[in-house]
This record gives sequence, structure tokens and C-alpha cells, in this order.
Amino acid sequence: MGIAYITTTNPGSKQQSQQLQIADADGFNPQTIASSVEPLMSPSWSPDGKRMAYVSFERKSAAIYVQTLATGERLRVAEFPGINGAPAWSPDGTRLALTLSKDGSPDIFILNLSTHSLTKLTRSFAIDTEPSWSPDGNSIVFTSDRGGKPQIYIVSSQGGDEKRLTFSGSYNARASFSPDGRNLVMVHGNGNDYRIAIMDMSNKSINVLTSGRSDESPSFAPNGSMILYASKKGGTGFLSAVSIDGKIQQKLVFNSGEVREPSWGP
Amino acid sequence: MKLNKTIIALAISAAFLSACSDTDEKDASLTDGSLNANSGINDASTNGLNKGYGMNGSTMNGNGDYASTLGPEFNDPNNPLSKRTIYFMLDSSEVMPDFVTVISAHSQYLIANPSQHITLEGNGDERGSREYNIALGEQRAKSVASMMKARGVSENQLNVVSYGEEKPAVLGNNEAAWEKNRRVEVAYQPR
Repeated sequence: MGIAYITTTNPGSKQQSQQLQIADADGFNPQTIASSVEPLMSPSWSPDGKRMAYVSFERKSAAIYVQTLATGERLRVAEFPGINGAPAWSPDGTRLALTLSKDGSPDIFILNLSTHSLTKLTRSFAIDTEPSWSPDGNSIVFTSDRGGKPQIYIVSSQGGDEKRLTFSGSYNARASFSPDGRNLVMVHGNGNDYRIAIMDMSNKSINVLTSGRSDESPSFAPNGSMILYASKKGGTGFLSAVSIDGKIQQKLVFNSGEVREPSWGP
Repeated sequence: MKLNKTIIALAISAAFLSACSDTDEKDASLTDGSLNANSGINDASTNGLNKGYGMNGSTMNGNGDYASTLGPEFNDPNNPLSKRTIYFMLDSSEVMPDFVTVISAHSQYLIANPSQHITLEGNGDERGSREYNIALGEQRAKSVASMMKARGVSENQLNVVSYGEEKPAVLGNNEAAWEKNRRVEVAYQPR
């Protein structure tokens, strides 16, 4: 079991660079799997833990790569005009949900990794991004501002009606399912503070778990008991974990300065 | 290394157990220099296999000074061409009236100089989620692009990219920093 995250070395200097690293769940045994002076974003583990999808701006615009961890072999799977972002593996590991803006506004697409076929899932004129699959692969949740502010929506992974899930708070984004599919974790904002919240899918009630001003990128532990997320204090990013009832908080300590976008591996 | 790892693993377990009754961060034991001094990611003694790719690219503001070489009007503070950053309100991609003059000036320059190309680089502040901020940054850059096109600038002189919150102009988590980071930069491209 491990985590992936992005870190910045030499922040603010000419030698500044970004690293995509994987490490044990406690931050030990870090290995750099990609490095660039341009931004790296959105690491996502394949369900078997053998590959990583991520976004890199190394060619001056966004592209999505899939890298095999054991060999370092890397494929560029999406490089369309505009946004290529937010890759998310289907639970069976055959497809990536992703965000492309090649047709105008950002929409959710599904890329079949073996046939390379691309299917457009959402068609709003607003921002649709941050797709995440339900554990059974039947549904995809995503962020959309079609109602004016970013909120969480759900759609069948086959396409069809898109239904709004969140109604509390002026900002709900980057949702993902718990391993049992009963809860969603998300970034929940009220205009000032952005915190990690959990939503019970059965009654849609939202429980805010953290107290930071700028908490983001929540990711469930494989056993569903803890949520890893990124926070900031004094301008420096760090990682924390919180139990799903919000009662246990734990900051993880790294020596490398800014650490962000944690993703808990399988 | 091994010993340190064991100690920290124990410290984490202990902190988890002792934190059951409240939600405060229990990080004191972990930030103690004696525990983690040799355990960090940049520790030269870590034995992770580096399979990373070296990637080439520009520095953060690689093209920042190119525009100033185009002519004195780009450096004259009284000329709107000297202003190459357009700022935005929170969660908004609407161009504020203050910046219409700047956009018009660059539009006129591009129309008069059809061999010049710009990249409109959209950015956001650090709050909220990163991929949503990428989308918001693109919306901001496209707002500026469509105003330029409406003024007659050719589409092939305009390139749009969004860096979201990934390339802040100013570091810091306060409104003073955030308002400087919600921006579109007009970057003239060297030919």
C-alpha cells in the first residue's frame, strides 16, 4: 500500500521543479517517478497499483500520461487542444474518465485504454470536470458549475441523465466514492474556507471533517477508514489524514517542503 | 534509517490513539527534528529507485521579458501595452471594466502586427480544487480571447493555456496574494 503525491523542490527559485513521487503510506521510501519544471498534477493509481495516470505540462500545454511503475514505460494518452485533465481509472482498469475542453467548455469523456476510443459523457456548456467512478463502475460523479456554482453531479457511466447531488454549501468539488460506495468525500466551501466533507449517499447529509482554510484533494484509504487530503499553513502545503467521523486528525510530515495532491493507492 | 522509520511509525500510531477525543492535529511528536531529521523525501540516503523522467521546459516566467523588447510602448507605464496582466474576482471569469483598455490596446497591437502571437495564460488562486481551478483559468483566458477576437484579432494569433493554481504569481495564503493570482497573463511569444 502506498501513496502518490506531488512535491515542489527549490520553490520560488530558478531551479524550481515538480516531482511526482510514490511512497509508503507514512511517507517513507519515496521514489520519484516523474519530474518536470512545468506543473505536474492529478496522480491517479490504476486499480491494480501497477500504473499511474497523471497530467504533465512538460510540453507547455496539458497532456495525460499513463506510466507503468515497474518499468518507467510511459504513454501519452491524451493531448487535445485545451484542457487534458483529471484522469480517473475505471474500477476494472480498462478505461480512464477524464476532462477535455477540445469542443469548447470542459466535458467528461471516457477513454478506452485498449481500443483508444473516446466517448463523450457530458455535454453542458458549463465547466464539467473531476470525474470519479463508483466502485461498481456503473456511475461517475463529477464537478459542474452549470447551476452557477460548482456542485457535485452524478451520471451513469453509460451516459444519460445527470443528477445534482449536493445542495448544501456554495462550493462542492472533487468528489470521490468510499470503497463501499456509501459515502462521497469532497472539497466543501462556504466562500471563505475550503474543507473536506463527507456525504452519506443514502440521505445526502454532509458532515464537514476538517477545519483548515484551504483543504483539498481528499482520497479514501483502501479500507475506507481514513481520508488523506492536502492542506496549507503559512503558504506551505502538507498532507493530513482524517478519520471518516472527523475525530482523528493526523498531519504527515515530509522533509521536502511543499507536498500536495495525495492519492492513496490500492 | 530503519530505526527512524520504526520510531515514526510508532509515533503515528500513538498519535492516532491519543487523538480519539478531539480533532486537533497531533503533530508535535512528528515535527520534532530528532525524529524526522533523516527520514525525509530529499534525504540523500533514501534508497528509492529513481525511474523519473527528466523533462525540459521553460522556467516559470520564461517569456516574461520578451514583450519588453518589442518597443518602448511596452515599457511605458502610461501606455496600456505595459500592462500584461488582467485580474479577476473570486470564482469569476468576467472581465472587469478596468481592464478593457488593456485588452483593447493589445488587440490593436496584434491587428497592426499580424506576425505577433500571444498566449493567454489563465490562472487562479489556491483555494478550491485544483482541476476545477484549471477549468476556471481556461474560462478566464477564453474570456480575454473572445474580447480580442471581437475586436478583430485573428484566431491564429491567439493561444490559450490554463495553469490553474499551479503557477502562482505571489506565494501566500491571504487575500492580497489571492487577488494577484486570479489573473490572465498576456504572454507575447518569441518567433
